[in-house]
Amino acid sequence: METTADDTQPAAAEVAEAPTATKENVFVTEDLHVYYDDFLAVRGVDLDIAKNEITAFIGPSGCGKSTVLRCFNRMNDLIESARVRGRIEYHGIDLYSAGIDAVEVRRRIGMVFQKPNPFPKSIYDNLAFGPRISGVKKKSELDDIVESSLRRAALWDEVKDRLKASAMGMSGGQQQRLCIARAIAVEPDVILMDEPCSALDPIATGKIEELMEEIKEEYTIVIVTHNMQQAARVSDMTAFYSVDVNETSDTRTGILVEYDRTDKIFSNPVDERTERYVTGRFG
Amino acid sequence: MSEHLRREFHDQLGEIQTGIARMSAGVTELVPRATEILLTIDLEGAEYMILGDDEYDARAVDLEERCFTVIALQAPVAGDLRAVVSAIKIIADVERSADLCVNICKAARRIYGHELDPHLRGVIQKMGNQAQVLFKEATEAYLNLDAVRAAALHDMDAYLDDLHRQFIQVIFESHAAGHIDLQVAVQLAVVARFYERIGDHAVNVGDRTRYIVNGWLPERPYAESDNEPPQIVSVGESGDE
Amino acid sequence: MPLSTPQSVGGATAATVTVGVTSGRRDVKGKIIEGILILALAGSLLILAVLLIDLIRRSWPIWTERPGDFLTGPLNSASAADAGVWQGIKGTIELAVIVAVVAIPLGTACAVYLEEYAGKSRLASFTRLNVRNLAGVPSIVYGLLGLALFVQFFGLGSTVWAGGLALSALVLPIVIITASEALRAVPYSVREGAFGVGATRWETTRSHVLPAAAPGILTGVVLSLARAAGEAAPILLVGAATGLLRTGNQSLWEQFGSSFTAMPVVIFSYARQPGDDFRELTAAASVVLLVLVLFMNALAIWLRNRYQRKW
Repeated sequence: METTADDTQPAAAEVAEAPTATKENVFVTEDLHVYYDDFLAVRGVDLDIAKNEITAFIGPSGCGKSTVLRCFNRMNDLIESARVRGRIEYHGIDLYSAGIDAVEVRRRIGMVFQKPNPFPKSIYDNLAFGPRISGVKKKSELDDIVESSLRRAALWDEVKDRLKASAMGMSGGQQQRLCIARAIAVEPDVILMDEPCSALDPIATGKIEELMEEIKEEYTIVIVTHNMQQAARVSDMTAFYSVDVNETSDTRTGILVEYDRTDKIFSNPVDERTERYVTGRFG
Repeated sequence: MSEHLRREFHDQLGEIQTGIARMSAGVTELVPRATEILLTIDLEGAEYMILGDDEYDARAVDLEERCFTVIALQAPVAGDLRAVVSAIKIIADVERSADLCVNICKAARRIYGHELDPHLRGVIQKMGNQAQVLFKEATEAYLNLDAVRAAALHDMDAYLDDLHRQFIQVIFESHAAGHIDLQVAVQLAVVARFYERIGDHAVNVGDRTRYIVNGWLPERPYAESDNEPPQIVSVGESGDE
Repeated sequence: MPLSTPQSVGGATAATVTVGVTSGRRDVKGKIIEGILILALAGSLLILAVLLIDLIRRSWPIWTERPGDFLTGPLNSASAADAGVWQGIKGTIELAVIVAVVAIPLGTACAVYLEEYAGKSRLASFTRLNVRNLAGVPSIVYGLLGLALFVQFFGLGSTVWAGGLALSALVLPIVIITASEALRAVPYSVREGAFGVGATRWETTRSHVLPAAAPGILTGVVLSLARAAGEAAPILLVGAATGLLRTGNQSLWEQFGSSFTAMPVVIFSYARQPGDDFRELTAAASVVLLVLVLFMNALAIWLRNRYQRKW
């Protein structure tokens, strides 16, 4: 039987999509909008982030990727003018409902920032701070947590002899891995990363990408990145955001254009805007 | 409107595509030339074409190298990646087709001194024409990235396969009737195969073109054997669509 | 001649480049300005040096003849031979202690609230503006405040408490402003890092922001203590003794609750008296005050360096 008459997509692709139905979702967003005062920064985001996967947010500047990311751990609360509309569910719970303690949320949903920001204290104190405020007091327990976090961040061998040294004396790549270890130390189940490698050289970047691969089994990771190749290398799912320019009101609002498996986004994306962005034909 | 970044890169892709199309157009002209050489047993022409194959080989190598450079330096993705990967395969199909034309010329040399009866000549001419048409269509389809035109190549190739079967039949008859001896018959059978293979390469070019445009490879519902009835081999349950 | 212009780059050879990089523009204007700045610095230092030398020269007889008596002697505006600065030193130190205990924690707490908690509300902006205004209020007004509020209304009388509180009020805006600057100088990324691991605002402030801002806050401490030590007007109005001060054998606590004097007032007292003896005393007392202030500054700077050297 000839299939040349109709160019319908083979069933092979459909078979590959079936497994997503059985995956557990850590985050589900529904019609998410974020405002800064009256300015609508990003609108209409519908996403589900699956457990133990790495999801990448890509897109040009100003499209709201970091804004959406910061909604997941309520970091936007710290910005006075920020307002969130819509729904974000974390393991089925509405993150922005009345009884939710943002501080507890941030313990379970850790964050690594663009520029490494270790505390101006010793390496040990950097890692011990989180557990201490969570109630861990005994030194032996803290020692264990510090060691296991550093091991999981692939940093233990490099710093085990100088835990009391200042964290500020480390290289940029080491500092960023320390920040990852610091996030891990409070045993979150999600780690959010906001352009974690933009300030680092290729080798440091490579080490962090390798680290992400290793810890993926225990954590769910969402990463915002400007580097498309990085998103292609490390992520399982990719969300492409773009900017919707409203000529009449002269506003720019971020929108989610396409969200799919990474191999699909980079080999055969559905939306023409995605194709143009990843091939460099636009922005 | 939209900014066009990476213009240099996309220009390079365009140059590769044009280079391949030019090579393919060249082969489109090689086919009738080879047919003519075969039918007129033009020894000089055959010599000329055999030597001229070096140029095609060189062009193929150059275009392929350019593809590798683009991959190494530009990290193409999505449509661009499909274009480059397909280009490499299409170069191989086109270069192989040029070799097949050369092989037809070599066969022409081997049947030097033998007469071919009109019936044989007729079928040879038809095969040559059809092969040329197929290659011309494939070239156009690739140059314009026209998936519809590329899809039509399958039917045209089916006709060429029919001609192939017909040709084999006529060779048997001609040999049985004593018009041609065994050696010539074998050579002609091989030539028939050459034409049929050129058609298949043209179809490959068409399929690759559809891959560039659509992003997936169309299925080949039947194996490439000519003499067996079509076997439907499908992936999943799409055969029902 | 400029080092390179578009057309000359193309034709650059070793010869032309050498000429370009070695001959150089004469940065005349820069050198003149540098000279002026050095002169300004020298001038300021010169004034201070002259002042210091003059004071030491004038007070020289006291240092050579009776340094011990002078330093341990009581305030005495009548007899120069018996006059000393001990009560002044004691008073200044006591006042400084009150300022340190009252103004610095209070001012720091205000700064922490304004910078870490208050945000951009209109009340907060209004408060910040008013603090700046208060910092510019003349010190004598704080003296009047001290008199009306602490001496009379709260009934503290002309005691060290009242004087200390009046000085604290004077110095409070300075502490708030410098502590605010120090807190603002702590990069937001430090707080973000703490919030990111689930710290509350107070945990973040206590464990990270305050320690990082400590050097700056200590600078504010230095400034405010030095200012408090040197102010005469507020404590005069509060009622510091200027002529004679009788103190019996009082316990430290009782001392705080009784009449007092301080170095600036002692200097003021001696300066008012006629006679060369009192000129010497005035100069000597000024030297003592300068040394005291210097000592307080040095202490605060040492503390700041010690905190800073850790990181």
